[in-house]
Amino acid sequence: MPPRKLVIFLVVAVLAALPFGLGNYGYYILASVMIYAMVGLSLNILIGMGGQISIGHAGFWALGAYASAIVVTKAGLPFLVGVLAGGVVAGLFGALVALPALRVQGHYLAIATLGFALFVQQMLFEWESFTGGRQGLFVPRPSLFGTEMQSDFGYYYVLLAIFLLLAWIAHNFAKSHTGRSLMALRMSAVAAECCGIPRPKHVIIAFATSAFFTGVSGALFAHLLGHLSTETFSLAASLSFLSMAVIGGLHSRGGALLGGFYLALAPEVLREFKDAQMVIYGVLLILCVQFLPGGLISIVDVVRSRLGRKPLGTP
Amino acid sequence: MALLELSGISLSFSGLRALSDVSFSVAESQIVGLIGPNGAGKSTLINCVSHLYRPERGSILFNGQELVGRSTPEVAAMGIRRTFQNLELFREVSVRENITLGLVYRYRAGILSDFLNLPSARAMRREANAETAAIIERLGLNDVADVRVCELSYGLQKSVEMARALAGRPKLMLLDEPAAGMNPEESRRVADTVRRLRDENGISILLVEHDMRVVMSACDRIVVLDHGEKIAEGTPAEIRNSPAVIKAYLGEDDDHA
Ligand SMILES: Nc1ncnc2c1ncn2[C@@H]1O[C@H](COP(=O)(O)OP(=O)(O)O)[C@@H](O)[C@H]1O
Ligand SMILES: [Mg+2]
Repeated sequence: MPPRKLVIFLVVAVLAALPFGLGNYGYYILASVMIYAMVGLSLNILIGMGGQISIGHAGFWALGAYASAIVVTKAGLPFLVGVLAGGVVAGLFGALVALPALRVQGHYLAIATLGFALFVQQMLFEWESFTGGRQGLFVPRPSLFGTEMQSDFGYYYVLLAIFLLLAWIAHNFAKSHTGRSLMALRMSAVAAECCGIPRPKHVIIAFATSAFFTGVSGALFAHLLGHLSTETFSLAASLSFLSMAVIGGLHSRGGALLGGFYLALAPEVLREFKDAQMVIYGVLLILCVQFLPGGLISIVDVVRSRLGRKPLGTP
Repeated sequence: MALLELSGISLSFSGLRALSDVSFSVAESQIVGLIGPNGAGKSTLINCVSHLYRPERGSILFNGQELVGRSTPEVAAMGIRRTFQNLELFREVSVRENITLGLVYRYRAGILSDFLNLPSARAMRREANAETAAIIERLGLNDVADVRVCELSYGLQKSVEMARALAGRPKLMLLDEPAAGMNPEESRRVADTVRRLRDENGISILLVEHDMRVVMSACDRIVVLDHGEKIAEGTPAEIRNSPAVIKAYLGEDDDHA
């Protein structure tokens, strides 16, 4: 087996073995790892490949969560249809959010995406008849082929499978002509446009794809939680996503996975610190940007380059 | 009919007239030199044709079609490619990837094929890779094909940019000082390459260059700009003896032409 395939095989085997010996709470944490790692993949595409920024991904996450919950509870459609609907609804909004990104960059784009997330949160809160508003919304357990999954043990494997599917799509995208054109625009927009690569189309694709991934994640999260309320989808969630993506590593699927572990496990480890937690997150992020700009995954790359291999992040 | 026809191009930057009422044309398979002292507006003119800048007045006809008002990628897709005075490469990736990115717009599978790596996406990649390999072979870049561009010498980077432009299968190439910073031997090779592009590929070329040996030996016609205005146009021999040109050049003391 070529080394790359072997590494993937080993990682999947470890992920599949992880839940054994854990209890319900452990299953729940592992399920969150997968859900966050999907958001990590989405930010890989938007920031790592596209060079765009968003501090509004909680907005897409919320849209995915509510869309799926509504499709499943109000329209009575199956769980997986709900998840797909969550991705599509978020993806469409992603294409809309790309429109300001065509005009503004950097700080201004960050503020525009933040505005979008606040708007979504408020809209979901106000639109009571659909979203339950203040009371929130109950979401049924996930079910596959007519049977409801009572335990997060089984659900974890569904999430792992969906994560692997999304990682595969992200990988395909990174080596595709569309994905590489997107990266070309990030490296030099002037050169790329003079090569016939249109910026608007690719920025829209980047936002829509990223939002789709995050929407799918949000939908899966809704069915894990069992109950939705709009406070979950705050600015703090957007910022945790961003720091997770940076700390895991923005340029590879492995980085997204490590970011998922970081975001799911850090609160467990840091619970003792109560109010000081936010400070610790901030410090960790700064340390990472300063000393490990490639994220946790770059530690793996360092080891690999000692062994004379190509870094994982290269397409 | 001329391949490229500029008429009455004017552009100013916050009051400074960079180009005023410039008109000339480039015929099919012709090499036209564009010379003039520093700050004369040569790069600005190239930016107008490749549509990084939009001229305030005037028209640019390419194959009889108006370019003004189109987007940069549209102009590139119509068959106009360029190089940059100060290099605009995809520095972090290989020579091979730079060249592929120059031709990738012609090999597009649907977005869904790209996500799912369907056979059509794979076929497009195979074709693009084959064409890239052919260009690498032809321009003798084999040894550095998989080296990242930022690790190459300045001269090689210039060749990579030329190769990437060529990958677009252009009908017209705009070269902004391709021999800048090169020694006489390298400059001669640039002049050679420019002529070969025309002779073997039938590409028309608008060549901005300070090195007079390159300009005089490669060009069929020469246009001279000074302070944004066209002050002369003619064959190399006519330009060499034009009093207006000599005056423009001697009037500038910081110019190395
Ligand atoms: N983007 C710009 N903004 C402001 N001034 C510019 C810009 N581009 C060019 N200029 C000005 O236009 C004039 C022509 O510049 P340029 O076309 O680069 O000259 P050349 O290439 O002939 O040396 C110069 O005075 C230059 O400062
Ligand atoms: Mg110039």
